[in-house]
Formats: sequence, C-alpha cells, structure tokens
Amino acid sequence: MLITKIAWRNLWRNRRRTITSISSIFFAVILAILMRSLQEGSYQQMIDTAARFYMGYAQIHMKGYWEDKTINNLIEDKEEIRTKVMDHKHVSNLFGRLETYAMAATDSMTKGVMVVGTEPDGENQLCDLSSKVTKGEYLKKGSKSIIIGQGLANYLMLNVNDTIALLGQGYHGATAAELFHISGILKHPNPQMNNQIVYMDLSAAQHFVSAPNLINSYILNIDDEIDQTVLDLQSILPQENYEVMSWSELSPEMVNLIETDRAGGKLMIMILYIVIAFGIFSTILMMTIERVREFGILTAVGMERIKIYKMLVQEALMIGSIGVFVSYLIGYPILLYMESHPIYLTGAKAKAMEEMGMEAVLQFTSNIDIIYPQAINMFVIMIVCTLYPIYHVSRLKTVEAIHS
Amino acid sequence: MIEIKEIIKTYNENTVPVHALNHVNLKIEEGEFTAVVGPSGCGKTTFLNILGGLDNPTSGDILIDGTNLHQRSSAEMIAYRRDNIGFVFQDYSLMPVLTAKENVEFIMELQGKSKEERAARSKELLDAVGIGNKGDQFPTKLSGGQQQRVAVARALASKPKLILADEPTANLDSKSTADLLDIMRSLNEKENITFVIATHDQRVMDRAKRVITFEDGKIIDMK
Repeated sequence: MLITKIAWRNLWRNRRRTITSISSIFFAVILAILMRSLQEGSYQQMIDTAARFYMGYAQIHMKGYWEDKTINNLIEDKEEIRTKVMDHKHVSNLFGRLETYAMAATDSMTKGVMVVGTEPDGENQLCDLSSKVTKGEYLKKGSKSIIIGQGLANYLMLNVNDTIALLGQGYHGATAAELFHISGILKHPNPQMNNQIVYMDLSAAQHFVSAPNLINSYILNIDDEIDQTVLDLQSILPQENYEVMSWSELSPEMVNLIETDRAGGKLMIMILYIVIAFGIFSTILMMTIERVREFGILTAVGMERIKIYKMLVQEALMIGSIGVFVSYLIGYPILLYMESHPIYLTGAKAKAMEEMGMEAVLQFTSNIDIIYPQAINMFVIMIVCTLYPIYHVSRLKTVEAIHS
Repeated sequence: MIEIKEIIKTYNENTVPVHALNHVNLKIEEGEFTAVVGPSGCGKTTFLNILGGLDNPTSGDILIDGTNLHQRSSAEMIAYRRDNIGFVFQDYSLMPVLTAKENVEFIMELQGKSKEERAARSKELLDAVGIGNKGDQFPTKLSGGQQQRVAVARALASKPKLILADEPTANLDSKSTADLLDIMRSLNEKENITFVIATHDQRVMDRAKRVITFEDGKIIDMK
C-alpha cells in the first residue's frame, strides 16, 4: 500500500510530464480502437453482406458440387436431412435453393442473370429479403411470379407486372425456357447481385430446369459456433453424399482479404504503439534517472530493491491505466455512436466499393473484442518500458547513488 | 559495542589508489555520542558509510556485538540497516511525496508494523523532536531545521541501536543546530542510543562525549 501511495504521488511530481504521457497513450489507444473498430465493422459488413444476405453461414451440397457447380450436381430435398440438421441446437433456419444461370430477355434487350429458386419464408428469415423489395410484393410460396434486382430492372427497363423470358439449360440437358411475371423489384445490398439476381419460388425453379424435388444446396442460418456446428453436421450427414461448408470455406477469398487487411491494420497499430512506446520509455527513464539519489537513500534506510522495482512498475502501469481508462471512457461512446451511425460514402469512393461488391458504407463495431486487446497491448508496453529503468536501478550502488 | 579492526578502504585500486581509510582501529561503546571530525576528504563520510553497511571495506572487520557486519548478503544488510541503524543526512533526504508523519512511518511500514503502532510511534517521535503539530506537512512546507528534525525522527522510528549522522547541522542556522543537538543528546541519554556524527561544526564537537579526528584516512586524535 505504501509503495502504491508513493508511486501514485510520484506521478504528480512532474504533473506536465505525466499528463503528456497520459495524453500520448490516450491518443494512441483511441486511434487504435477506432481503426480496429472500422476494420472489424467493415469485415462484419462484408461477411453479413455475403453470408447473411445470400450465402448463408453454412451450406450443404452434394459432395463435389462446390468444385463443379453444374446444374446436374443436385441433391434430393429430403425431410430426413432437414430434420437431422434442424435438430442441431445452433441451426436456427434451413431452406433449399436451386440456382442456375439463364439469359433474361425482354422484347428488345437481353442480359445474363442468376436465377435463384428459393423458399420465400426461409430466405426471408435469413436475410429479411422482403424488406428489400422496393416495388411490388415479395415472393409467395407456390407462386410462379418472380422478383428481380433493381439494377437488372433498370438495365432491362422492366417494372412490376411486366413479363420476362428466361432461357437456359435445364437438368441433364433439358431446355429451360419460360415466361415469368415480375411481382416485385428489390434492392439487393450486394451491388453485383442487384444487377443480375432473379428470385423465384423453389418449386417454380425446379419446374423451370425440369428438376422436381432437387436442389443445389441447403442454406443454413447458424446462430453461434459456426465452425463447430459445421463439424457436427459433417459427422451427422453421410460424408460420401454430402459436403457441409461454412461461409469461410465457401468464400476463402473473402477470408484472405479480411486476414490480409487485418494484418495490415494490426501492423499500422503496432507501428503507432512503437512510436508511443519510445516516448513513454523516455519518460519512465527520466523519472528513474532523476531519482537515483532518492533510490540510494531508500536502500540506505532499508527498502529492498524489489520494492523499488514494484514502485517503478506501478508508476508505469498507473500512467498506462489512466491513459487507457480515459481512452475507453471517451472512445467507447464514440464507437457506440459510430456503430449506429455508419458513414455512407458518396461519389467515386462509393462507386469503387460497389464495384467490388461491397456496400458503400464505413461500418464501425463496438465489439469488446477489439477494445480489451488495446489495454493489454498498452500494459505490455508499459511493463517493457520499465525493464531498462529496473535494470538501471538494480545496478545502482547505494553509496554512489546517495552521493550522486 | 562496535569494534572496528584494521579497516582499509582504497578507491581506484587498479589505477591511482586513493586510501580513504588507512588502518582504522576503534571501539565505540553503547550509548556514546561521538563526533567524527577532520578536513574535507579525510575519510569521515567513508568511515560512516562503512560503519553503516552502505559500503564495504577493502579489508578489515567491523564487529557489532561480536558479529561481523560485512559478512551479510546484500539483502541481509538492507534488513539489518532497516532494523538497527538510523541515518541522518546533511540534506535531510526526506521523501518529498510523503508528509512528515508518513516519512517517519515509512521505515516502520517496511518493517511490517501495524497501522496503530506506526501512528503511535510517529506521534511520539514527532512530539519528541518538537514538531508534533507538523505531521501532515510535506517536507517542502517545512524549514530546514524542521526537516532535519523529521529526519531524526525517521532515523529513530525503527528503534535502532546506532544512529549515523553525516553533517546533520551543515544546512541549519544556529538556533536550529542548538535545538537539534539538544534533541539528539536527550535521546542519547534517555534511550541510550549510540550516535556517531561526522561534522565540521564546532557546536557539535562541543556537545560530543568523544571527538575522533581523522586526517588522510587515519585517526590522529581521540578526546
């Protein structure tokens, strides 16, 4: 307690220097928090856009489908499989999809499109797709009407209640050709998909490609422990017939992109911390060197050196704690605000992001996982910065220190 | 009893040797009030440092109650100093971040004494040195004489057998010097604490029971 009291009061012997050190920690930590928050928020945005708005958190396919995505690699939609999967505690939703590509034609224009046959209720539970419908109405189970992306509608100059012809390849070489009534237009959050997506009821799609009761994949919404759930499902389902893949396996390029970007961000933060660390180190070293005589007196009157070391560490940790605490006190409300008020980009930057398949928005997150490592980083830096001063004190000779 | 046998302290042994202490032999009885005097550089401070276990002699022994002081490890020496020796420095050397009372309690806290014991002892000591009403003042708010009284109280806190004072009156005015000497002599007589004081101050010599004169690292006179 005495050591702590002395350490605390020592901080304020040179108030200006201590406040400067605390300020540098404050700015480093708050900058690190904001950087990491923006990074992780953007990653989550990407994952949500990709997984929650289309891909799902996991998918079940016919074994080998992911390597060879043809209309012929379909699985039978079995109630038994649905029951087994839905029995898992972390699977909150499952529905079947049948995807294919086709040529969309109006009376004067054509465009390649992605046809997604899906279960309207399941799709809506995963991604709240009905809320994206900007005109007309959402899909109905058993209906032959379709909804199309806004970008596609604009390109083909289509509107609700128009008719569109879809031409493509059906199951096992059959011809897929049909006219569809457009019941709605949606704004898909993924800009690429917005320009090419056509949703229809699963049964309509099965009829379109002549593949009754067949699907490409089951789309899973998993509420927690995605990787473990995928492993569990792999062990439940016959491995020779099915493959179960998580979003990270379905989109490894996104994982790579995130990992690379995350590593870059962490490197930047590390550089920032190193710069700050030198400042802190010089402060602590100065605080030590100018008290050499005092340390000599302390050891002369009977204070063990270990207590002096503890005092130095406590002084450093106190500076770090105050800096981190103030950063959190001010930074966390900023994060909460930014999380609920993302920055929407406009102009060329927005266009560039949309072309990359991302929403043009800078999303922050207030996830605690990005906050506490900054405190740990700072405490490690503070302790490392005291190592040399401690070594310096350990080498002091009492008599020389007293007469220094 | 302190027995100093054939103490030699040589600095710069590998270059140009300087003999700070040269074959010093001395016995100091319990309860003595001894002044160590001599010109600057004669070895007074070195003698006190070695006697207080702050520095090691090049050769020779110091026996305190029959035990060799310098055969202790560094950690044992620190504990020994804490429990048995009080130091008073020329510039007071109080902890600037502690109040007068906290400075006195500091050593007792290192000794692990209870809060109540520390509070009682610090009050008793600050009263004894005449600044009982200044316990909550930080050293910067005290005069030189008051700071030196706190330093004496701190030196006495652990109930040491021996107090070593290096030029304790050098920075004090006449009145403060006289008051401080009164306090030290009183403690010496009432509590039988041994005082060894390195000084240039004639007033200290006048109050000492014994005056030891050093010159060129040797004792040249004892009165």
